[in-house]
Amino acid sequence: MSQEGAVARPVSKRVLFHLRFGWWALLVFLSLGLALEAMHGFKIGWYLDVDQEVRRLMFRLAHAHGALLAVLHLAFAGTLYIASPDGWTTVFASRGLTIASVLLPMGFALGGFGIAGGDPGVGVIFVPLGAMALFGAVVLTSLALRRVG
Amino acid sequence: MIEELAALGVSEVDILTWATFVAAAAIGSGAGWFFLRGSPFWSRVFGTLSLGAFIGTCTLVWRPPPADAELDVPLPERIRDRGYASSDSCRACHPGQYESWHDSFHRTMTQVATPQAVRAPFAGQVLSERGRNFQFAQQGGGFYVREVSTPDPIEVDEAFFEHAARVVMTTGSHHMQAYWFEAGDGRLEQIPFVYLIREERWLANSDSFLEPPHAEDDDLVRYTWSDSCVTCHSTGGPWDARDDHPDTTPEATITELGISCEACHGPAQAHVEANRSPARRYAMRGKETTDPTIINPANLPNRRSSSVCGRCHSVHPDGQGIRVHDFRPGELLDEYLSIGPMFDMVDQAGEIGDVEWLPFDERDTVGSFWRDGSVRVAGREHTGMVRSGCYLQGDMDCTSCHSMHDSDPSKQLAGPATDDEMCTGCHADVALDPTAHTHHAAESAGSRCVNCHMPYSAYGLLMATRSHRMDGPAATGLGGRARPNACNLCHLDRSIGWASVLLSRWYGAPMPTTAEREDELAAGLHWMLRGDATQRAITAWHVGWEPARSASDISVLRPALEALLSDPYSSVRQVAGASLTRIDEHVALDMSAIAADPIAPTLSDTALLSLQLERDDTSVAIPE
Repeated sequence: MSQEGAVARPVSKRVLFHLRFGWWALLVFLSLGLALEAMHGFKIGWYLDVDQEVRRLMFRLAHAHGALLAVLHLAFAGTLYIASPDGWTTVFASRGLTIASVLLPMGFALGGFGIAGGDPGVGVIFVPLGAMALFGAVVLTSLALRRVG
Repeated sequence: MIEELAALGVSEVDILTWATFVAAAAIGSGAGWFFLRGSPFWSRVFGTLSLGAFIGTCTLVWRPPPADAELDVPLPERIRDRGYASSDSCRACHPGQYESWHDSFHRTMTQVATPQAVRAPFAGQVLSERGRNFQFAQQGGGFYVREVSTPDPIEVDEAFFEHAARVVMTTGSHHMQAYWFEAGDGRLEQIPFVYLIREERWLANSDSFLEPPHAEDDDLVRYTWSDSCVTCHSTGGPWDARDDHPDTTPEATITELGISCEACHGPAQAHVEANRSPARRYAMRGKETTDPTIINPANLPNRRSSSVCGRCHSVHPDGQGIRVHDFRPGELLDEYLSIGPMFDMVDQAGEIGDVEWLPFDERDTVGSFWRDGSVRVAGREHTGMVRSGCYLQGDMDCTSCHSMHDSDPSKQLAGPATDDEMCTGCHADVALDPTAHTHHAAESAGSRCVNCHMPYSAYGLLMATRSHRMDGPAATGLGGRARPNACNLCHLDRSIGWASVLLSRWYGAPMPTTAEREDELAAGLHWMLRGDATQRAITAWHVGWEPARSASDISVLRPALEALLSDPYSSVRQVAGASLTRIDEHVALDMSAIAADPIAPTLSDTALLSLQLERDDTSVAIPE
């Protein structure tokens, strides 16, 4: 039931995109969390053995980063909706956040395959790329917000 | 905090992962505070969050100083020098190997004397030996020993600790544990008692070795850490570091207590430095060549690979133990020890039962061997193995049967393979029809390869251990320093003559001398009553060994076993006592009393008594 007199602001395509991306990503990475818990539950050696420590770390980081980035998409959508920053910084922040949300969890997840000793698989190379994209997105969003109001 | 959470079962990686997130939250909140500092509300929110997360991060990653840092007495100086990096450097890249090593008794061979390491009770009790009395006590996390004037305990108060020596190190964690204290001039000296871990009792040092009875006024057996023990019970040493490190104590310098990664893999500093580069690490993946910056014994030829273990697990010919200080994995042990000449000397003394007849500098070395050239001291497995056909004509090395990283910590036997599979991997023809070869039922102890080819004919730590000279059984065992044979160590109630006939019939073995062929006395009785101290101890142990109990009529042997409780050698009495309690669960013995003094002879059978009167009282000393 909406309050009388309240006027709903239109939701932009970008806000809608981040809302959808965020909720779907949250679903994916919470599912990954369930899978990790199941591997604990069934004592899967491939995941739990001492010499699989790096794999376990990588998968946990993939799960944690994916879920947190999903929440960040929702926060970003809320930021866009409330503060309505505009301009190229917002566009690039949106793209950076999206790229980071793919590369970071993917890099960690791929790093869990092909581990050797204390080193993750070569797929971990996507992580620093994703981290740079995320860093850029945060900087650009912060700058965009400085111009608001 | 890490220590506390680790004690609750949380892994350090988990803790550091969470610490990373909290640190990220601190940074993020700090950024939020910076960009929104114009807004009083948000700046307070983000400022508080940032401060809280910062404190949280510090709490998570803070760890107390290591326990040994609290010790105010000198340990052996531990310096990462001469190319050594210490096991801490290995963990990050080799977590599985680190963990398996961490579970091993090699790691805990020598430890700082913390409450976690010390297995013995230091509960105010007094132990006496040769007229000297020592009282043991604990205060907080420290363990103390003090020599007192009487066997009656004195009050354990502040005055007690003022005159007590603090225990700084332990050696041993599997069967037996010894304790070291600072002797006043930088030297570490061993308390003259050891603690038997499984039996949970203290024992005088001299009673833990197989050695002749001592006079009550003899000096106590005392060992100094830097004299000999340091070589094989620590890593990366010893060496005199006073030139490069003038602040060190006079005690021999090492890299690490216990037997750690670099004891087998060699100094690792160059390896650590080279592999800081991720590009190098990823480039090395999948390459056939091994990393030239580190030694992996698994990739060495068998002589070099087994030399790694042999540095410590071998007989060091008289006066040559110090030479192995400079041995490094990858080298040949023969370059440091005169192994060939040692075997020549041992073989030349093959007919000599009493080593006292030998020149002084040959006695200890020859005394470590049976007359047939097999080692009779436990822990010298390399010396036994290098005279085996499997080693000399095959590719056998220690890793053929043992694994440091894929095994149970007790015997470190490799992987899931059974004992037999380790042999039948090469001797496949035997596996096709084991009974045709063994003449025993396929599932019986008599068909286990090691029971015939690696019998328990070495002695140490109050037990018999397997010979590592893989050879075929021969009907030996008559006379001093004669090795008890594998057949009769199981069939203790049968004679050596009986074994010689069967070995000749089954395997075409040459018939032994007339004396052995015509011997009709049960070998168990022969060795326990007429044998020398090593034969008595080893046979007494076998009476309690399950396969021998199944294959022999124990009632024939029991009187002789009981008679060994009055043996002049303390170790023989203790081994016999342990076997008595194994064959008869109703027997309850005060093992400390048995260790201290012989109990009254119990032999009433005149025939057995006359055998005991022929006991070989040749002096025997097994320093293990």
